[in-house]
Amino acid sequence: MASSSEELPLGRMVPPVPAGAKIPPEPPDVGARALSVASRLLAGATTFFFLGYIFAYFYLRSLNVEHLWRHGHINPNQALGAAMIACVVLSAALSVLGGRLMKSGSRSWTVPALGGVALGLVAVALQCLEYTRQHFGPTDGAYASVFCAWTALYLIAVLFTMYWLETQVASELRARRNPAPVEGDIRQADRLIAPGLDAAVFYWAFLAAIGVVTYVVLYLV
Amino acid sequence: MTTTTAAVSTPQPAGRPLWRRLIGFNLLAAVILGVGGYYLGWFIGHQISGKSFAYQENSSENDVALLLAYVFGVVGFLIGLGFANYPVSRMLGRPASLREKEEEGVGRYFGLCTDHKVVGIQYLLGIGLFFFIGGVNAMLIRTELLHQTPQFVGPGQYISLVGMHGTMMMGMMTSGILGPFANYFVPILIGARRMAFPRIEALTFWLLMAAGFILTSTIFFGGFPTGWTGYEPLNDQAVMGMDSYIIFFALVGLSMCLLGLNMLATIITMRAPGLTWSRLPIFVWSVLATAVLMVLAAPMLVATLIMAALDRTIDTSFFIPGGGGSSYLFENLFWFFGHPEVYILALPGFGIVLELLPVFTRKPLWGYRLAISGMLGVSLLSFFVWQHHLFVSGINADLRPFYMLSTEIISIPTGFIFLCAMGTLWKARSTLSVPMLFCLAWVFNFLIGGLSGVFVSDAPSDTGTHGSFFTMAHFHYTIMGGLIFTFFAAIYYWVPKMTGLRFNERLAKLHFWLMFIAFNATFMPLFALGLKGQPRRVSEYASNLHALNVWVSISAFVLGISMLIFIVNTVYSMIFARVAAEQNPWRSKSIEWQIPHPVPVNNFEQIPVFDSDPYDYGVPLTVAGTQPASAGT
Repeated sequence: MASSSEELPLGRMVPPVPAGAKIPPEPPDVGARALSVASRLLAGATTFFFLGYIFAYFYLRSLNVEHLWRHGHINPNQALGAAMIACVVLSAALSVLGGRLMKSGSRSWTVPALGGVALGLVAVALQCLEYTRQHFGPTDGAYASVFCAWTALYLIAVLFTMYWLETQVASELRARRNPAPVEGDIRQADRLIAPGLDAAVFYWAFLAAIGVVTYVVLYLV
Repeated sequence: MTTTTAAVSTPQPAGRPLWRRLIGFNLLAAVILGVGGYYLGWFIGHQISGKSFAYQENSSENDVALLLAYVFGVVGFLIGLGFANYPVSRMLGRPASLREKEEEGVGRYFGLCTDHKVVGIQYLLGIGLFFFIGGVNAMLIRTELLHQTPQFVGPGQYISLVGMHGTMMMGMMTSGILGPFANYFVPILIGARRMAFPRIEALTFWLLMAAGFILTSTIFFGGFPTGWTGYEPLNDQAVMGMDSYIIFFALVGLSMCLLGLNMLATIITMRAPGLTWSRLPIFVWSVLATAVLMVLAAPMLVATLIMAALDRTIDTSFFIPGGGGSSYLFENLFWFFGHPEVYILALPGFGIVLELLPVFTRKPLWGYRLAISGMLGVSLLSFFVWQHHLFVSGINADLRPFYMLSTEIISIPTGFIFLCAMGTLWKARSTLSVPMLFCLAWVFNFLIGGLSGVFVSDAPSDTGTHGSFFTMAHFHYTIMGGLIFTFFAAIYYWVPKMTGLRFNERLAKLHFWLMFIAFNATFMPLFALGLKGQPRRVSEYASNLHALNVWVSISAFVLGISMLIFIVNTVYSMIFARVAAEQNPWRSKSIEWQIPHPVPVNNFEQIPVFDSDPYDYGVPLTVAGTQPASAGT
């Protein structure tokens, strides 16, 4: 079958969706599977991202170029660091609890999930507070550089994850008042909230584990 | 094989007046907000550096301001395109949706559009633009090398040109095949209606475009002296043009990571019924193997460039020995990304060749499983070879044997792929169509690239060839001979499907022969120049190398002319001649050729059911069943 070139002006090589056309909605399980896989892949990407900083830490520490790895006075605030990581771990635990409650059909899952978001934000605030209290800056040697960059980037990752968790809670609260239309782009789009939460909780738990590694390496080793 | 009952929709573009279309989130708003963001970042950067960093107060170089300007500019650009709308609406709890701006006409190509076919075409044009700029840089480099001493641009600009050429090619072409062809065809090849995350798909394209313009803008800030590798400590000492490099590659890394993630999620979760892993088209397997590398290697690049940016701005000391850092840290981290990057470029080319050979030889793909194991093997091993780039950089001598061995071992899975190509070609009565010619050229080029790779992977011989034109010849044979030739194979093979129009075959063959001959005439002598001692990135050379350099430059210009012939052919065939392509000009059994063109809005009216792989040439075509569209993809 040869198509006529007259039918294919440049702007219409890909036919646009006709005005008013009804496109069959997609079943929610397609998006659910994609979300689940994507959260695992994102965890892999995040691991390799922070691996760069772990490598930098041990590489520079082992070289200790001109004995400038870490001056004697450079010590992060142990109390604030411990409080920060405690908030991260607690937040992740609450999120996991929220995820389990949702799977069991309980409507109260939003409470621990919101608690998780709040504690995650507290962790971010504690990290910021630590920056103002610590007696060194990023220019004070290799350890200080690694510490400031690694913790700041971790903080950004936490903020992103809190946003992700918040979208699930916000969607649930909206869905209770005003359910999504059955025939949108996605059939019963609200059925994506559960897999969305599952994906976000998985990622947050993974990121919390990276947080624990961060704490051990930067504060304890 | 499968067929579908897809019907062509009658396109009825929305009839909004032009002035309405200019207001809102589109490319115009993106440019305005991008420029606004740039100046806002520039202003804030000057405020910060003036007050906080005394060392920059009296300097005309303000890296903080430029980096912030770029970051704010990109954010503004993306907001202008409409990429912030969905995240904000999700934050407010609005339901998830899939489609955005799929109903407009030409406007879809100049903004955020979630149709994977539109994104594929956007990629093809966008990458083509920057490929052209990179190519012009190459012509300027060869013009300078017509003379033994700097005559044309001078040593400083010469190294900037080399850097821009290398960075543009290595950065933009990472998505050279995945961007246009995987985005367009992977959903179709797996029987899906879309990519898993359509907005992320669009985002990867626009991030890449922003990156390309930022790299080009380096000429306003003095360029950069490091070549595409951005090595420390030169990186830290360079003028502000280096910041363009850092932001460019960081954006490319982000785009790559998201592109890979989206591809993997799509291939893993959205295959149609019956499309088992052992029936997946080999091109899709190559995309999968590449995507794994993108997801895992690109974040390391981004992490490294953030460290470099911090060293240049707030004076951290990751790579500065005077502060306890080490430039070797950069070299290690960069090549941990950099070597997989080579395979990010090469693997899709392997996939194209193996996908096309059965079509033109009319034979099943020889060694399908062997090819898959080769691709996955290359993908895995590429993470364990990076230190061969540092053989002459003073690494611990005890490490050399391991990295020499691991690098040489990677030739085994690569050899699998080559063997599969040879097996498919064996005793075949091939049709020498233009895509097939490019595939055959790949066989020749990649053989030379691969064999010369043995010399640079071997520590003793690498000591003599490292940093010379020999190495440059090697990687041009693998990257240009491997990727760019297959890129053109894919263009000639698939663009008739994408546009419904066919290329002028005479011009296409002229393009091929001129390109193939000029390519070899350009890069083969570089082996000799390298062995005679001509170093890379230096615009002066010994008088006994002059004749060969003139030969190479003239050949390079002919290579450039071959590209112009391609452009002429594209403009002529797509705009003026507009000869309609046949429904299935290559008599392929692959699914994309079984659906009508233009490809319908939703790809398939009914989801296809696969009952075999697409390589059963010689077996009569079977008509597969379908199932209702609502059953899911």
